[in-house]
Amino acid sequence: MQAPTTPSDLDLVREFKQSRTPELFAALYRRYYDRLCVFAQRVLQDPVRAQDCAQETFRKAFEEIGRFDETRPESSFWGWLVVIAQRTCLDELRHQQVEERYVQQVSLEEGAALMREEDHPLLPKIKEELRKLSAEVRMCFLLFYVEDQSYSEIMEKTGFSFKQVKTYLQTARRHFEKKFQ
Amino acid sequence: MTEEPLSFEDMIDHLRRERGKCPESQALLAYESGELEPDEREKLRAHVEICGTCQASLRLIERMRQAATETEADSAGKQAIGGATDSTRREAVSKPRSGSIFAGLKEFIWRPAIAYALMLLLLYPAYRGLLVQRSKPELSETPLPSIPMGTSQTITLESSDLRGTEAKPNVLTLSSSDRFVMFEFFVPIRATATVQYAASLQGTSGSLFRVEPITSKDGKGNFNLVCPQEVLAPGSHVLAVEEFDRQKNERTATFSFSFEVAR
Repeated sequence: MQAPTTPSDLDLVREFKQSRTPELFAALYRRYYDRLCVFAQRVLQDPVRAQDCAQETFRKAFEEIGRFDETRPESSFWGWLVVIAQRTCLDELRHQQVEERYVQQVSLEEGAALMREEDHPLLPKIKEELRKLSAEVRMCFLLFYVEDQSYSEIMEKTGFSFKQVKTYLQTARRHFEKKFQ
Repeated sequence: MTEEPLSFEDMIDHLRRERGKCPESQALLAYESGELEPDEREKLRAHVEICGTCQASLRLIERMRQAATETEADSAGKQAIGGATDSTRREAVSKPRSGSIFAGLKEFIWRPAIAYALMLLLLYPAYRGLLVQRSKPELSETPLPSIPMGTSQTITLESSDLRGTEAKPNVLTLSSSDRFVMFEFFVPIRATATVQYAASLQGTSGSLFRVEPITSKDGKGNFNLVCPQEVLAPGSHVLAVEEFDRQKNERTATFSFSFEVAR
């Protein structure tokens, strides 16, 4: 007697789209939830947030299942889940920053519309000098001086230690002080 | 066109104005994977070039790609191990047991020995941690004198370490009626159980006192520290706050608050 074969992801998605039977989507959930939690935990470094992210990913996948093309054999449901999870993790980590900076950005944009006509001629040179910095130094410099973030916020966002942030900022400051008075 | 001289502050101002609004996460993901149209890509590139937040997000996206690869590899590995374990189990069941007493004793002694060794290895770091906790780091151990009740003065100290620019000078003017001084200051603390903070006050004559550990009053990095007025001679002083990681057994950060005492 032949053992029953496990339905593939594409089969489950196809049947779910046709019948909308929750049990079919639940099978996909059971299949990938743990793996998704592992992925989210690696990104967010927090098991509780990782679980929230995994739940949110499946919720979005449920709503957006119409966008997944199960007719192509090369389509990967897990790959599609990961794309949604990446967006969810990124949103989770950027969410607060976007909210806090939104008000600031709106007022800055209004100023920017006027300023662009009279941009300082040294702006290209400023950007050129920025490119000369290493990626880490440039990132910390912009976060601290341009975006007014604290050491704690920079450490949380970048994963650098306090010593590293301090060193990078000193390096950036010295670099620009030589170039601009 | 003649170039006008530009100060550091003006440069920061220009960068702030130029930066604009951050894109949505979806757009950043598409930018990172090269899926944007050329003009959209260029627009985003110009923003990312001067936006620390988006640069940090792109680093994060790179980490996510790595996490996805590692998760895939783990999952594939577990499936392979699962298969191997099954076949090993089947082999073990089918293999006849050895009748030798020596083989039995060897199994009876060897497996527990491995288990005990593993247990010791796992417990050793905890044991080391206990030892470290008992021993004090090499710092001045002058105790804080007892503080009598009386009037006090409060001063909020700022550190140039945290501002990145020269902090405004902290000046403390003492009057004879003040019995003690309350220092208020902020350090970016790490909410980790293995990290603790200590404060030491240095004057022109050397170390005045040390308090260890100190605890943030609100859990967010704001501290209050009380000091009797009589230890504060006129002149320069430094309040140093040290972060000590007990797990690594090393000082991981120092924040300095300089102030002048005048009478």
